[in-house]
Amino acid sequence: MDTTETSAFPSAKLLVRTGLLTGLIATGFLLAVGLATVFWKHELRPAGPPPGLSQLILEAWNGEGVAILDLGLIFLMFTPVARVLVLAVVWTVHREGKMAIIAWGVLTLLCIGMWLGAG
Amino acid sequence: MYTTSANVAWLVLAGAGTGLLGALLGTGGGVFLIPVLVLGFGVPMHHAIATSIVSVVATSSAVAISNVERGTANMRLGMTLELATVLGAIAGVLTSSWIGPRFLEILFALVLLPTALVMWQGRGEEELPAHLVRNGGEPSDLMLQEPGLLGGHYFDSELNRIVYYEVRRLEFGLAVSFIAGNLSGLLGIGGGVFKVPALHLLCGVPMKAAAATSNFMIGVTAAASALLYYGRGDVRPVLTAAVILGVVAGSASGGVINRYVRGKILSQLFASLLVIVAIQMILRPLFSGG
Repeated sequence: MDTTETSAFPSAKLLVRTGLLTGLIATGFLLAVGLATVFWKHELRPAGPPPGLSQLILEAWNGEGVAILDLGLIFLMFTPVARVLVLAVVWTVHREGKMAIIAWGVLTLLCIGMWLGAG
Repeated sequence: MYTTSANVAWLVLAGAGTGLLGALLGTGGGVFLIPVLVLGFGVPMHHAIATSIVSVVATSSAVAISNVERGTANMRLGMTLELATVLGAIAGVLTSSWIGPRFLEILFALVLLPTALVMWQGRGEEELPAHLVRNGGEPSDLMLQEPGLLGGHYFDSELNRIVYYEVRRLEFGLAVSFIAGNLSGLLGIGGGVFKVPALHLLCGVPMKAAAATSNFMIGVTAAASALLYYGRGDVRPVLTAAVILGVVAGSASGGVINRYVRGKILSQLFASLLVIVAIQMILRPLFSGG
């Protein structure tokens, strides 16, 4: 029997599609609103690293277009990471040991990479 | 400057064009986007690379939605190879400070040219790897057997039948995925130009499944690199947002068109892509100002 037809696959497929679609819709919305706001307010930001997440959220809440764009980009960059998390959880729940270990391994590597990048 | 309201529409269009190509060819499209941004819009090289790698995340995510639905993206194989691509991307980022990227670019170009030739001549006539087709083009017995943990199947509308396949020589796929991830971290590309031929020629995965699975993997690899570029301040929000809006629209269109493109055409398009990438890699030092 094809292993892709095990009980885990349909739910994994559905969750991955839903997660990716949600991430892209949220990203598209934030980027469109952010771009419109930037050009409406003629905003500019000096070159350099972006502010921290809490500062970004505060600025976006206050209607600053560049901060809204930054949040959209962060949302986009974490969408594939969320997809790995979804598959790791689904395979764990369905007791697919090998695939669950692989997925959690990928997630661990991503976290290590983010930690190294932040450092 | 390149992010004025006057040329944002052109940036969106440029993103749409590269997104469409990326979706059709199983790459993130970054190999086209970087020269367009640098030569067409005067974007500094490091900002172009950062924009490219974030747009690769968008392309991969958009195309993966339709590929997962159709079953052409093999999630198990993709996740397994992501172990190697993410490890490679981290290694690429860590070594980027002491390995000259220009040396790697030229080496990359030299490897791509013969690969393009093999792709064009060797597999262009086949829709499926040889072991999946017996005389007369009918399904082989292998297609009815256990495809293994990482094997898969999908419905091919061109062949009007379900294609089953197993994964052979996984170690080659892992090795090439590590190299692809490494180059993604160093050069801001998705690495599909390596993974698709490797999956197809070395691992025996049908071309459509190879392209879809590669695209599925690229998002995670690119995200690992993109977060680092973002933290450094190389991702310019307005520029990147304009390009991404185009890229998502273009890659979504490509995902639909891809259903009707024959494997032979896809292989030959990919061979052409490899030549373009090789030329780009050789010329890139000139673009970046020496």
